[in-house]
Amino acid sequence: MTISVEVQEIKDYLAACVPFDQLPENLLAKAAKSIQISYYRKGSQASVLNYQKPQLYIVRTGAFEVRSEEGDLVDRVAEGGYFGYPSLLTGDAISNRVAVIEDGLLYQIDEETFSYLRSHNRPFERFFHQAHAKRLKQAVLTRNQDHQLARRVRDVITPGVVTIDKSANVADAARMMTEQRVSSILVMDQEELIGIITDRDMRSRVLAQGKGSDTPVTAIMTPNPITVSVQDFVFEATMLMTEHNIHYLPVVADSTDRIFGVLSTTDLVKAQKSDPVYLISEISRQEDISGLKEVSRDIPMLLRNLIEADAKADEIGRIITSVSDAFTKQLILQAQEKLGKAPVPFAWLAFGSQGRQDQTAISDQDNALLIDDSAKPEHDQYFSEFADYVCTGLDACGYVFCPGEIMAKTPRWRQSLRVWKDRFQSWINEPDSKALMHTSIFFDMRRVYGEQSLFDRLHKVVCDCAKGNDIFLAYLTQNALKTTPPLGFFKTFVLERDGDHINTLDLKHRGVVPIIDLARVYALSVGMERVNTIERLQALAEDRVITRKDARNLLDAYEFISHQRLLHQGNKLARSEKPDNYLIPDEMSDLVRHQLKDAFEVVNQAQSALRLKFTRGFM
Amino acid sequence: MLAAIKQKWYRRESQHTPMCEYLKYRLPDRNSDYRNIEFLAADLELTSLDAQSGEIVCVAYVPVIGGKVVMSQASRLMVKTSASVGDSATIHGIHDRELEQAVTLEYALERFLESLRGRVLLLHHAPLDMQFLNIAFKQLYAVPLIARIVDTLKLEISRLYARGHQGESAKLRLYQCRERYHLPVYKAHDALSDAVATAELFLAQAEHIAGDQVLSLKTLLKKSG
Repeated sequence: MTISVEVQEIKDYLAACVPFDQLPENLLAKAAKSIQISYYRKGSQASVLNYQKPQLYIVRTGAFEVRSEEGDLVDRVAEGGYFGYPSLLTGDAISNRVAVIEDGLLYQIDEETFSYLRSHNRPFERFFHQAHAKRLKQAVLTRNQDHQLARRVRDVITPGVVTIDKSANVADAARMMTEQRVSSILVMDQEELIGIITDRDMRSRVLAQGKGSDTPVTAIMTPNPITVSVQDFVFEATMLMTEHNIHYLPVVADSTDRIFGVLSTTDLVKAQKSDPVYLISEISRQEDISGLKEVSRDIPMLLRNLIEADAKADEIGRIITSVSDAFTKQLILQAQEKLGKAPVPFAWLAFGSQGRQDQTAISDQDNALLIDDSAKPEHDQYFSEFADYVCTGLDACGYVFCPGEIMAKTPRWRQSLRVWKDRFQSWINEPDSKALMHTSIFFDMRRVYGEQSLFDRLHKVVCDCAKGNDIFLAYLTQNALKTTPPLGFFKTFVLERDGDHINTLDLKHRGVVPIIDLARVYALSVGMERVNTIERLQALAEDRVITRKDARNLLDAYEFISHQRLLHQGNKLARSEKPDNYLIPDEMSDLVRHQLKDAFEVVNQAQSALRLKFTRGFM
Repeated sequence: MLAAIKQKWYRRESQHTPMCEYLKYRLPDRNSDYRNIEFLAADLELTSLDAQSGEIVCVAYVPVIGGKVVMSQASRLMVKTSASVGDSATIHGIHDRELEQAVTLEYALERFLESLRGRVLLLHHAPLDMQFLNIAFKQLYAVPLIARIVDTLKLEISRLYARGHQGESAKLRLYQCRERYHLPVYKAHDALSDAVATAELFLAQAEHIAGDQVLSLKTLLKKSG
């Protein structure tokens, strides 16, 4: 029998450490009594961490370094700091290593005591969750930097750019290109980029055509070249080049329009060998539907790789959507090969998740055809066969026919610009709650192929019409509030009560969709043309439609819920099951449960704010 | 060998007492590495430094198991004394309220012996504490204590000597020794704080003597002998 007593020194020390300072006297005494003290010498080969029993380590004196299995620095901890808590929170095996940087004493608290303190003191619990979340964020950041698939244009180009004034002639340009040893030069009108000239242009547009060296650069340049931003993904740039058959893309800095450099195919070859690019180039080589169908079998593997590589949900959405776009484009090219060129200009539109670029797996197709007003009734024969070919092809590749028939092959969704304008105007000006429920996906539209100006004209009408239209926005809000996050009054999860997914959490409809809906209402209220949810939220904060803090919270919640949904789908894929959106709460770790509740709470509050802003005085 | 005979002899002498129970346990193996041995760091609070007139006021101890000071098994026992605490109260901060929970010296030493079973005793400046303990043990159980004892003060002297210090001017009080290892300054001055401080000092000393090598109890005993 021993009488356990606390040592004042230890208790006083703990009482001065956040979050132990939050503990009431009895819990503090319990913590102090449970402590085990050990001493570590710099350079010691002894293992600091107890791999069998996770502990909370408090640095009393000295300094320690936490490194990941791969040797990356995770944290550097000095007096008053902690380590070891992630394994205590998640229940996962310890994988980090700890090295002694300076001789020191460690206080250790065992798992049982740590859990007791957590469950009896909310600030204590919160502190370690936040500390862990912060570390996770750090970890994702460092991991993504060298992640092949998520490479951005910035990562592969050499900065620096060679420019020439529009008043110069071809000889000046040739001299400059030779001096600077570049194979392309940008033509500028003061600060503005107006054209590009490449080595090949010098050959085919000057020499081959017998033009003199005094020919002005403006006469041979490619005017208004397509540009990309340093922020864009490398594979997006690759697709642009393939689509337009060009070898150079001027790159602009992200916020300003300042020219940052030129991306060339050579840059891309260096950056290649990443899966989506390979998959997309495979797609572009297929000459018939059966070939595409074959390639589509690789999509689940691509998704699984991306999830396992811990890419961000946003990046995965863009990559998977790019693959869907590539299938669509290739089918359109095949259709044109078969049926001939379209008689009048048109644009192929994608709605919903493909429109927003947040597809997470192969899903139903939601598409439509927008046809130039010059089309005559007899042209419908062509577009009908054309749409039929593409939609049937998509169905064969796994993008099954839309149950709601929202597809270009349905006559109703294969219309001229005039009809489309009328239709949107009637949705917006004479809103009907039920009809809006089925049409909200139309407001997330994007051109996948065809005439950009045709699409722009329609999109502008939609945005102008919706902007500040109180009645329409009130209806849209009412719809957006129909699904709420699954949180009960006492912050408990509210599980699905019926159907095949009883007692699960529906992460898509109750988590991701409410945020998408929120962002759409705000974006349309100011006539914003962006459709991607993250871009919408960022731009809304930029334009001060919502506060930066609210935007950041929603972005974090969106990323977290989407990420959990992807992890769940990744697990299903790994077990060769069909991915779905239904999470079983008992299978979550405490940490995830806790953070998920926080994320849902953010959505809850944002919905309240939305209700207040748009439905007041109407409902 | 000699120790084993002595242990047997003392066991008979102290039959039916807690000391006899203690002596039934084997002393820690001298050839073991210190990391595989359990220690008991202890400190006494005394009314005077003179063992003939002074009394034990407090017995405090904490075990070191697997290289860790285990606070949950720490103990501090206030002892009822024949006289009033007198002046020492102001020195050691012992208050009457604490004395209400005081136990007899016999009870305190019985608990202490229980905790010492199979462990090495850790003391800073062992001769003083051992003088008091042995007087008490002889009175109670007719025999003195047989134990493996590591004295952190002596260990420090031998470390300093090995590094070229002559030792005569060395600062060897507990807090001064701790400073050399950058161990924290403990303001409180009670027996349990000192026992914990001694345990920490020992871990630091042993870690530095051993490096990544084996350090046997035999070597430690020799260095603190």
